[in-house]
Amino acid sequence: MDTNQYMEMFLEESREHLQSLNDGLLALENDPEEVSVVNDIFRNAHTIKGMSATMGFTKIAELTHDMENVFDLLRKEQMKVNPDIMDTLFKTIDSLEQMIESVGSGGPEDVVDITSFASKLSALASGKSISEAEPAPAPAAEAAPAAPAAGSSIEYSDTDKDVILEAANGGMHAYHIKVTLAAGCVLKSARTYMVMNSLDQVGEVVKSVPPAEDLEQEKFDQSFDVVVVTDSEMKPIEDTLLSISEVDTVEMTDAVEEIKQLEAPAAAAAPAEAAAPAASNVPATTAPTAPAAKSAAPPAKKPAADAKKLKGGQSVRVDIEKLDTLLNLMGELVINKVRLEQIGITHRLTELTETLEQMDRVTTDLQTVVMKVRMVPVGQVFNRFPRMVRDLAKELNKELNLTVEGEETELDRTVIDEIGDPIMHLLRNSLDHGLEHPDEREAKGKPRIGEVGLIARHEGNNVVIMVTDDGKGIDADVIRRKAVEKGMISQEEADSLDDADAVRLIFLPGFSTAEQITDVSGRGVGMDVVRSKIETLGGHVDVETKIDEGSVFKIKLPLTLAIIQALLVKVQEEMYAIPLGSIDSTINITQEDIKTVRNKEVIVLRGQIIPIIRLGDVLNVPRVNEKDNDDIFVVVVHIGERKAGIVVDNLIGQQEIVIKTLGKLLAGLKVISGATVLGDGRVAMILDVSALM
Amino acid sequence: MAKAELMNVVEGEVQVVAFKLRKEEYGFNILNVKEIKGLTDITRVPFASDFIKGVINLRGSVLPVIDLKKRLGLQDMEYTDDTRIVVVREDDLEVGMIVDAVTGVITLNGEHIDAAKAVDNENSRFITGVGKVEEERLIILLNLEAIIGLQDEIK
Repeated sequence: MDTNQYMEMFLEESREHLQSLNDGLLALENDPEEVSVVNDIFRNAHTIKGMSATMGFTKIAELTHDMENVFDLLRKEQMKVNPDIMDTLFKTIDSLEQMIESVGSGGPEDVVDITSFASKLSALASGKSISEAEPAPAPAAEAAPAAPAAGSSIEYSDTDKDVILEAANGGMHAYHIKVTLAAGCVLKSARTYMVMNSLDQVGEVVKSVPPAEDLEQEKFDQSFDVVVVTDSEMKPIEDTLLSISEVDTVEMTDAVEEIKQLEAPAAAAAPAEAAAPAASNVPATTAPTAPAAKSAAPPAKKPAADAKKLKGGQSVRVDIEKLDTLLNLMGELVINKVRLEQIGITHRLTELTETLEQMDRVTTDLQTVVMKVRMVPVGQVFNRFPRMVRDLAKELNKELNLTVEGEETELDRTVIDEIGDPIMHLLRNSLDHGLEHPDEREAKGKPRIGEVGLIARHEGNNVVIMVTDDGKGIDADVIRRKAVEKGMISQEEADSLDDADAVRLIFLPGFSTAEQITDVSGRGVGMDVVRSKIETLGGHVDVETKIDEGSVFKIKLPLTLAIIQALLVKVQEEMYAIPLGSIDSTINITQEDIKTVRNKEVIVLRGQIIPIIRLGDVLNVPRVNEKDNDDIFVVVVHIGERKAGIVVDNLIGQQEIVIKTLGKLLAGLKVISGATVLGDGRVAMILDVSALM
Repeated sequence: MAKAELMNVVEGEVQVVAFKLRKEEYGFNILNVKEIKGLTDITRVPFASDFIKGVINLRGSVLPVIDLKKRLGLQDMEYTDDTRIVVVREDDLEVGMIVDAVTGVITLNGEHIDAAKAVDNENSRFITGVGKVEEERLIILLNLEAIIGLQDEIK
């Protein structure tokens, strides 16, 4: 069978299952008594085994099988969780990951020497086993069911058997159906499609011989076999199938009976092997009942899970490029809508305006849907951190408890792809520099186990991701001293900075306070890289810290990068857009309200001194008309805790704008983050508020 | 080399879009020219190089526009009804060029193109050669890559 087209699916699903395995093991490590977790991870391992065997990756299947044996013992509580076992299991998962990634990139499967793991795992399995017999070798077990298959035209793999028997346990029927098409049937593939389709409606097709692919390509004679799990009786199915034209005969047998018949002679011949893996270590369970015992353990959820996978009609995989195109078109639509609105207003066309209001609702909904389609939960990025944190904590000899919250918070796909590294860096930083060693913590009267948090949540039109720790915090004076030592700022400058601003110096390039350079973090390429990455994503990062209480690193990201709400302002004849997300308020003042402090213009707003920025001067806007009115419009913006007032000539209004890049030729401009096309077809620059301040 | 590059592969001829900058006639290889459009609103871009006039809206996308006279060090002139924006493309970069008037598409025979050394001044790096049509008509062929100047002076 050509398995290439399934490769991607295999990789993706394997990765998902490995991730679940990782998660499950971490949960188990934290709470060794929680055996129900083992049931879940057992299923994950089992699926990987099944998939890799189907894809012909025998080594992966073998290793998973060995691991499964250990899970099985844990599940049956014949073995207790201990650090030794956990480490071996974690390492096994790492190896599996390497192997899967290797085959994924077209490499060989055996990039890892699995024999050592295999023997370790079987040692673990047999060491605790009460059996006098040695554990059954995996390949033999796989081969066992194949041998006696001669009597039937269909072979059941371990997975098939599991599904069928578990379905039977759950009160469902499993039928083996042999469909024979009429001789001279021309459209064999169409007929098989109809057969499969009607079977799909009554139940789930778990297996077909030949495989579905060959059926589609008409690679069979007159008849084919399918195994269906259903809650329907035999007769209605038979009738339905016979009603399809050119279906000649339909033979139905009970698949459960068939399997039992097949198992019996095999079990008699080689009891230990036939019952593997479950029975091999449990001599108390006799061979003929082995399959039942095996399927009894996990509840009947399995068929449902498998059924879902086989059906797969609930979601579609779409190329991200197509989504980008969709988004672009959406952007065009919004621009044109705004343009029409303006025509309606200028020419006082009430009918047009009313129709546009309707259209406005539709486009808004459409836009939300398009945006949502691109949204991915941050959990996709978060889920790789618990494992990393565990390993890192071991390496650093620190004890901690990682809390992850808000995994379901959604972000634009493009942001998700980029956000992993900065978060990883912040976590590493918290573990390495933030958290103290357990003894040190105890001396300070803190619990030995540190708390590290990774929290995502919505905040207005933004998503905030926080990395928190209850470690030693950042000492502003140390930062000041270092910054001066490194010649980044002068002593006076350092003295004039308040603590919060001093701590922010860590985001400057070339800053690292680690006394010792470790390979974890502190090579002086840390925080500035984090900051620039976040800023290219249109977000910003800030830190709050208290000595001996801990630090909070806060990343604020826009929900989407494509369409934002903005305030349009006018300076002389030029129009600029200020993202609404960074606007606090707009105020109207007179020239007298502007004071000077240390040669800088400021205003006092609700008791707070805010520096003002004259946009016209900063952007060198050509003066067309001298101002005569005394009114000054100020847009108060904020980045983190810092505020500033932007002086403009006029406020035009709030509008939805589509962000366009300025292209290669104009890349890297200060203060300008992009451009947008306004309703009247003109282009306006979008201001980068953080660069203005 | 520049000369060879200019040629269409077929029979040593090159077609150029000819246009006027003040009194002189210039040309871009027609393969680089995407469209010619009338003058529209140009939005100034703060902090951009001085030869970048600004950006325009080209059917929903934002297109940078170069003031070609300024780029070539020529004296400025008021825009007239003849002023055009020539949209050119080099690799995947699209740029508009403001010209005083478009004079037409001209086919130049390879034999009638002199290499750039013939015109020797500070702007020679922008020029690939000079083509001669009829008796007295000279067309200065421009080096688009150098004019867009991705390799230098952006910042």
